[in-house]
Amino acid sequence: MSLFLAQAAQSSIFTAPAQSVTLWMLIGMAFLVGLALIAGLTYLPTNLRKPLIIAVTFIGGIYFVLYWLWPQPIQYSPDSRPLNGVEKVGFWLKGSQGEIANIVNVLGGFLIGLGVYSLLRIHLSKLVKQQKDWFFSAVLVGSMVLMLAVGFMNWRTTLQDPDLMFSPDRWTSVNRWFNLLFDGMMQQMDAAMFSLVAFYIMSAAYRAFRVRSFESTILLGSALIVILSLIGLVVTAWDNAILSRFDSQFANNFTLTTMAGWLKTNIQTSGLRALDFGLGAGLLAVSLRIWLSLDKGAVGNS
Amino acid sequence: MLAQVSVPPEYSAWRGEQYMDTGWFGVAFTLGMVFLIAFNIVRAHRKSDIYIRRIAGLNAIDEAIGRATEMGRPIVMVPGIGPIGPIVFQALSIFASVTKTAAQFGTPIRLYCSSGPVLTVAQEIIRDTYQTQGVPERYDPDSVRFLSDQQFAFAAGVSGLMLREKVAAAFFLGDFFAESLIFAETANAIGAIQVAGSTQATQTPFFIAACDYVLIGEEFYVASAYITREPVLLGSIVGQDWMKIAVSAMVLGGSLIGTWQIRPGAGRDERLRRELMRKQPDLQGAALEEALRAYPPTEAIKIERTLGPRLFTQDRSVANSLKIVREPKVKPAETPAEAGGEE
Repeated sequence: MSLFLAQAAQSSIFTAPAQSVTLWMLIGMAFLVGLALIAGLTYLPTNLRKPLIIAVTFIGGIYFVLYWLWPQPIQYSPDSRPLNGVEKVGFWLKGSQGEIANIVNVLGGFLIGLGVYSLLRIHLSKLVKQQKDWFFSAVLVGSMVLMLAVGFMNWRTTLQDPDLMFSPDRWTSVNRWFNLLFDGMMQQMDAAMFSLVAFYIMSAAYRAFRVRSFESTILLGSALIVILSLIGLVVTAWDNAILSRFDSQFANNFTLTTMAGWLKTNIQTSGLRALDFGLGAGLLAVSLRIWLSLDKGAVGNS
Repeated sequence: MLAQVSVPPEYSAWRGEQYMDTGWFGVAFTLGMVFLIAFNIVRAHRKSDIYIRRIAGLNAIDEAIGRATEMGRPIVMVPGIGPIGPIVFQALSIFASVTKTAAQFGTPIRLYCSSGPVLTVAQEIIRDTYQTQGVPERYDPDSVRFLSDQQFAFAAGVSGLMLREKVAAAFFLGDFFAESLIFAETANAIGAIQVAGSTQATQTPFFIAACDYVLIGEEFYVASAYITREPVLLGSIVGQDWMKIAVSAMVLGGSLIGTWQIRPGAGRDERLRRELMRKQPDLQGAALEEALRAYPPTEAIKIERTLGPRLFTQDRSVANSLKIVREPKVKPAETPAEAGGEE
């Protein structure tokens, strides 16, 4: 059994009763310790911070390298018992996965907090000083506070009744406000932004598909075939005209469906796979450099 | 009756070694690739004249910074919307090079992040860059900002800021998805020079259509080596090229072997049929089919070869359903037809 699981089985803050004062107190203390750690790291001189970053990167990296390369149980339960050293490491890697994910989530939570702090610092300062475009900052801060407050109150109501959001007849005003803000506004604005892509595709295509050089002419021709092959009326007219005029199997090669299919299968797919190979090779090299801190920079050894 | 495979007792459920399940070759190949990179990094330290071909998108970086400096407008940089990882680090290392030049000329920069961890690392890198250039006072903490971790809220935020601040140059490098075109077209609308590159192969065409310069595929990873000429980076680029040669050779070899395997008449069932007909010319029609059925199906043989003796608990049902057998129970000499003939 992994070390982490062995610890989890004993009494800890994770086993404190839900909503109890002890739990909230411990969470608060952990939060303060986390803040102190972040503040300490922020004000640590660069020459001291670098070795720490290099060490943490290497240790974190070695866990994930082992996680993927070390033999692991495929049917694991906390009751399983290892037989030898290899199995012990395999069990530890498998068992500690959840704990590592928790650590990463907690770190992510703190870093989101830093992001929100940065956002608020910039926009509140803009508001206070009434700088240019301060109105947008007011909208942002107001929306953020409103969404946080309503979201939190809504979450409290759904704690007792998880199916509440699926039964509008039982909604309170908080649930209605949340629905209005999230489904009624945020989702719609998201969709509106996404729909802009359709218009941008048109304007980008207009600029790109011009006969300026040999390559752009090939691009234009290929794009035209693929675009036309998606229009049913054109496909029917073209394919029927080809097949009725030329009574041979060879003519089938010149139907829109066949040409577009050939372009997508033989040209597009192979091109994308070649790109993916290159990207995969690059990713492996960069990952290795970061893990071993060979790069110069914030995580490097400069 | 077909016999079922009996799983040896020593292969208990836990023994699902990944490299045994999926084939040891994948792990060995990855380690081989790592060796190629490591070897070339060491080699690059000794040999400094490694050539990297000209990349237009990277040559355009200085042009873009120069333009922004002349116009007195900011440069915007976006490291994608992906989580913190090698892609973001690579994007930030290119941005550090951009910032280095911008810091020398006092050109304002804007770096927009879509996640807290990226913001933290980006702030660190940009602050360090200003310090190493000897102009720490020019670093503006507000130049590196977190906007939103929601895809389109981030897209709206970046587009709005680019429009309001009328940026002169835009660098979009990293993991981009549907928002790529929103960024590129907004930058184009305000006349900004755009240099882009995405690790998402599906987004690269959008950037090609909308941007002035695009880093395609692995050019994104080559960028920092191209700019800095660091031996470590140059060596890893050569390692990547060797990897690609190895992968290409495997693809070519695999294609040839695959073509040879599927040549007419090369299938196992066809070979079995020919062998049976040669050995027992009397076997014909239904009797021949019956004799052939005594052999395990091809698919079952394939699975058995893959898993071999390592059939695990959850695979047993698959094995059983496919009626995997180790040896044909009825040998050609003992086919039902022949047995019937003897009777």
